[in-house]
Amino acid sequence: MICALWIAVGLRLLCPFRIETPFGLLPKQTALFLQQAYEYDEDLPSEGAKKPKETKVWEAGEINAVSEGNNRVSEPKAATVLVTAAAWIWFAGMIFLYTHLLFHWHRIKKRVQEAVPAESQGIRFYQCDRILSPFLFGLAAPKIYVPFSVAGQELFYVLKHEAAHKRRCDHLTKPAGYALLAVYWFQPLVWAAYLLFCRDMELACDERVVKEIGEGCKKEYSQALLSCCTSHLPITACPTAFGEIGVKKRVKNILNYKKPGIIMIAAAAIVCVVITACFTTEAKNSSPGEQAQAKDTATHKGIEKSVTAWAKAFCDREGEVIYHMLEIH
Amino acid sequence: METPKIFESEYRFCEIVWEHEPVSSGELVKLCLEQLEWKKSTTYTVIRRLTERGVLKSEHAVVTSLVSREEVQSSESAQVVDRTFSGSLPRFIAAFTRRKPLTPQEADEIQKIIDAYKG
Repeated sequence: MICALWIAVGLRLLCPFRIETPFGLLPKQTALFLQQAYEYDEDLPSEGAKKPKETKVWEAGEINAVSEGNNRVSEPKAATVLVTAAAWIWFAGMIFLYTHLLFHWHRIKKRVQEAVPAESQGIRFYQCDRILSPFLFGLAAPKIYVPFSVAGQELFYVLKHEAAHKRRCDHLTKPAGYALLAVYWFQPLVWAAYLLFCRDMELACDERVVKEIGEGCKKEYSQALLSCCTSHLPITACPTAFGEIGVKKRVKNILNYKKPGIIMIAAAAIVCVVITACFTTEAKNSSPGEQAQAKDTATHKGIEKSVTAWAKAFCDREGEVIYHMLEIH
Repeated sequence: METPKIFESEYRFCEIVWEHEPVSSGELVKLCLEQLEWKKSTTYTVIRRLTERGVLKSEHAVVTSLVSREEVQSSESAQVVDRTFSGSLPRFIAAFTRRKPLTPQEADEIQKIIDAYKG
């Protein structure tokens, strides 16, 4: 169920639109780019000035484009340069992470191409020389790969664990999570979310195995886990490896596992639904009175900004800018 | 000459060669696809690698082995004894018989091997 909560997080990161509900706990997002908006109030005295028919929203780049067209070399605003540079850095980071994924994927594909098929307890798997630990690999038709050195009781537990991953479609959700991480790489919380998601995925599979084999075999299963412990880097999109994440935490979880009762499961499900609804939707708009007040403040600020822009254009003799500002009438 | 090292998946491939040799590479590709689910390119890569290592011979697209199954098995067994029992065969046999006692036939066979070695 915890993994279902992580999927909700993933969907929230993925969706560009926002859903508003009365119980939403997410704050309203505000645009961060520079803008100048102006509209005339009917009551303000304005000699000879006509009322605009529409509100023109100016972005920082537009004023520069107009003044550059006037054959004057005006310096680009620092903010625009920063935003452009940041965008390029983000893009480079994303490309790097996707390249890393493709490289890693290709390397594993090469390593497992000489795997030989085998079968045990009705589970089909492949034995391989050049891998360090067992894992599930592949998107459309995932296969379980196990090193030749894993045999006997250890093999039994490994196969159960990897089969649980396959049933839960972890071979799809893990790369999907990494793909989202590559887009939001600048956000440290997203990295934390991905690591915790991978850990929760392993814990969930461990619980499934213990449920299947019975609580009497917990010790042997923990032993198998320790034998297959690897020292891989934890940030991998694929594959879902047996001894990868937080072995200590997993062993503790297995040994303390107790099958939950039906009431506990129902309560947990309700809590998950409530948390998902509250934390993936935004709070609805505030009352009309508050909205009007906010609009008034924005109008006055807009007027102040447009007056400042006009004065600057006048002093700098930027005819094009003044012409465009008048064009709206 | 020391027997070249063969990895486990290569050993499975060699078993197919030992069973069907001399075998054309096309036929070998088909057999590997059936028994090992290997792609054509994988089979050719392994043939090339084992040829370079001196395990197989590939002439005019016909593959034969240069090392027999018995040689590989004895080399691997010697490695196990070296690694686990510091090269002591009596200790190896003692450990083996602790788990499973020798049958009278097996004891006779071993006796014959020792006599042939001494004589």
